[in-house]
Amino acid sequence: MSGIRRVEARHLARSPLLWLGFALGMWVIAGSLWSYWPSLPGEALLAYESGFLVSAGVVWAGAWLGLRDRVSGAADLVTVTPTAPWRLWRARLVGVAVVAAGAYALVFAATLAVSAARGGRGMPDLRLLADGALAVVLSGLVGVAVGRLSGSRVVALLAGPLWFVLCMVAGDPWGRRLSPALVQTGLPSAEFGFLPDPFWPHLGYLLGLVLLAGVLLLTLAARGGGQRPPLAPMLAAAAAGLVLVGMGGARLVAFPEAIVPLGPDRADWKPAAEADMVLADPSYAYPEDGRATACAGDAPSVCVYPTYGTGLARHVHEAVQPVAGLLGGLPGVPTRVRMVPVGAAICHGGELQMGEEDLRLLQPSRALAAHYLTCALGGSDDPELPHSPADHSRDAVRLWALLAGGEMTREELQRASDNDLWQLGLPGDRPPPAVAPALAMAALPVGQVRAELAPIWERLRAGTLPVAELPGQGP
Amino acid sequence: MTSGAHVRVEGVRKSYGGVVALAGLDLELRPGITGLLGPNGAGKTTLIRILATLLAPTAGEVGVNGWRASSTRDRVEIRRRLGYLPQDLGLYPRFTVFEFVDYLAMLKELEDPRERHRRVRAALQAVELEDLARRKIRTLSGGMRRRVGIAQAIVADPELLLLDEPTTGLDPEQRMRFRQLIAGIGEHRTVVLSTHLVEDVAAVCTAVVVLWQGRVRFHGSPSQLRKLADGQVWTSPEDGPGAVASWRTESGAYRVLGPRPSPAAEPVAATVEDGYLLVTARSRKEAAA
Repeated sequence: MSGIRRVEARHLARSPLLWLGFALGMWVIAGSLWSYWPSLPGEALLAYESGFLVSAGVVWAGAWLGLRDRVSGAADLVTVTPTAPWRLWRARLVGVAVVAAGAYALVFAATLAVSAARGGRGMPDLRLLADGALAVVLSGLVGVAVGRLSGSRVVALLAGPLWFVLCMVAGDPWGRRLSPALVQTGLPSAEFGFLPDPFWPHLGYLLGLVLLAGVLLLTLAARGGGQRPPLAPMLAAAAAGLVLVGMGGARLVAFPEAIVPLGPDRADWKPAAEADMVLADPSYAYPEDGRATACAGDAPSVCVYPTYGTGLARHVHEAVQPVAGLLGGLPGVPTRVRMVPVGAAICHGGELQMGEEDLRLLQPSRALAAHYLTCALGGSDDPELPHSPADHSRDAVRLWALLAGGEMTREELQRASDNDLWQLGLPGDRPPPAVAPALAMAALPVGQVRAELAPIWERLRAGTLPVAELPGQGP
Repeated sequence: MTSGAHVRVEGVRKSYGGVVALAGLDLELRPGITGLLGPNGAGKTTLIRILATLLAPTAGEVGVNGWRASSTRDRVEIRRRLGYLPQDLGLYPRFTVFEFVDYLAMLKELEDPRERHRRVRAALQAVELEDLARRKIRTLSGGMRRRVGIAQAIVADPELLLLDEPTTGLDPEQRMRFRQLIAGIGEHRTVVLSTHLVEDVAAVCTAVVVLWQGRVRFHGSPSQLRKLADGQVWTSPEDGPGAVASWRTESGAYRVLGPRPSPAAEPVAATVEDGYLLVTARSRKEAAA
């Protein structure tokens, strides 16, 4: 039967439906790949989540294989051979599994290769390869079952997209956990991994489903043919499948939706709802854990997790240094930017803490600089928070620093202020009243503004300085 | 070299709902080529499908070399010795000719790839498809597909070869070559050839079975079938009123099967087709009576 396996695998590998799924997966991956600083663990997850699109193609190809004997009319020719139908289908299913897993592995490998070529580092979680491959193999078996049971070309044609939608649009956390492809709510941390980590139980769960689907299909093949597969291995496989699905499924539904590390110790890792309350406290800061050791620059220094290398630290430093240089030495201005596992941007004790996901996302340097300035000025990026007229002073200084640091031009600012400052891609949503004072300050020499800001700095940071007292606002 | 199969059909009945397709058939088929003749609905295809172990009879038993088709274990043994060309031939359109025949050869337990490929090439050569071995089946004409079907049927050198309407779609030259091929196989194997074409039967068969409404109306050699019509075939200037069959020939005279149509009628030599027409006409008359 090895010959049949090879032939089926070869034909499936030539299936345009399979390659359609493959191309779709690669297209989605390519669309996201350049949005992030390269890291092999991150790209492994990207390949896992987007590579699952391959499964739609595999379902299609599997469904056509399931239909093939009936649609082509060759069923009689196959039936009158001495080969037991279950043996034939076992060989065919192995062929499907090999090609399905191979197609996914190709997506996975290609994604990591591109990441590595871009300088991606770190150790990818190979469970993502195994889990994705099992999910795609399962989709192939589901496709075969759909083709065999429905006998309909229309159903086979719809099976691919429907399968994908069913797997991806699971409404509740349980549904998402029990779907063949796990949909993560956020990127995993290169330092902390997946929180919670559902992959071991999910691997067992998927393996169980694959076993059950295999047993079902072989039983289906043997139906009416008289030649039955050996009972003991079939029962053993079915029992193992049930146990794995039951145990894996029970573990998966018991997981909390998300766990947030509020500190380096496991005791500090809290379910999302609990963590949200802690993170809402303005006094919260992520403790020093010694993990962000890949550093670059000085005043401020930028430190990220070693997986991302000093390349990312340099990238962030280059973004914030021009504005940091304008304000260096003033009280409260951060002297360090540090990657932490939580939050978007936390300002504490002369340190700007930025969440791993935010830092990895290749934000425009203007946005990174604006985060730094928000921390330096003691304000908030949050547009939801109420702001006083005094906040306009901080906003004006922030905009001046961006102008003076070369992060944007006067024309850009003027143009955006006529419409909406969001056009500049800045965090926060402040009204235009800050724009005119910023432009006025920008008209002065940088040294003069810096010198005039020094005596009013504390009041500015405290949010009690009126706009009229800013440099260049006098009569 | 293996020998042909010995096939016994004992009291085989097959009905579909209330419709009786085979009404208690007893047959014994030995090595050689047996032609299965009969009008549409006579039960030829049903009998072939039962012999091919695709259909289970409603009653009765089919045995091949002592193996019973009703037994799961024996059925596998029968299938090991079987080559089958169905009337409605289905092939995998995306396979090449070679791949398809090779695929079926694998299912027929030809395990050794080298030997299997040799046999596939030989089968394709036998049906003159060796030059098209790499062509996708979807690009083939109907006649070419039929030849692919014949190639897969003979690839494992079966002891029992069942061919249901094998020459449908073949051009006259291909039919002639097919006859040569089957005649060669029939020297050592048991071949059952179901067809509408009496000339195919007359050309290659060593035995003929005429089925009519699920019953055997004749079982003998082609010459015995022909002899049934001896003295009942005429060429006549006018059609006879009691003729079993008559038709106007190129010369303008009638060829009449039945009693002498007129004193002017001249006797002519009977053919197998005349014998077949006589058998079916008698069957029809008996049924009407």
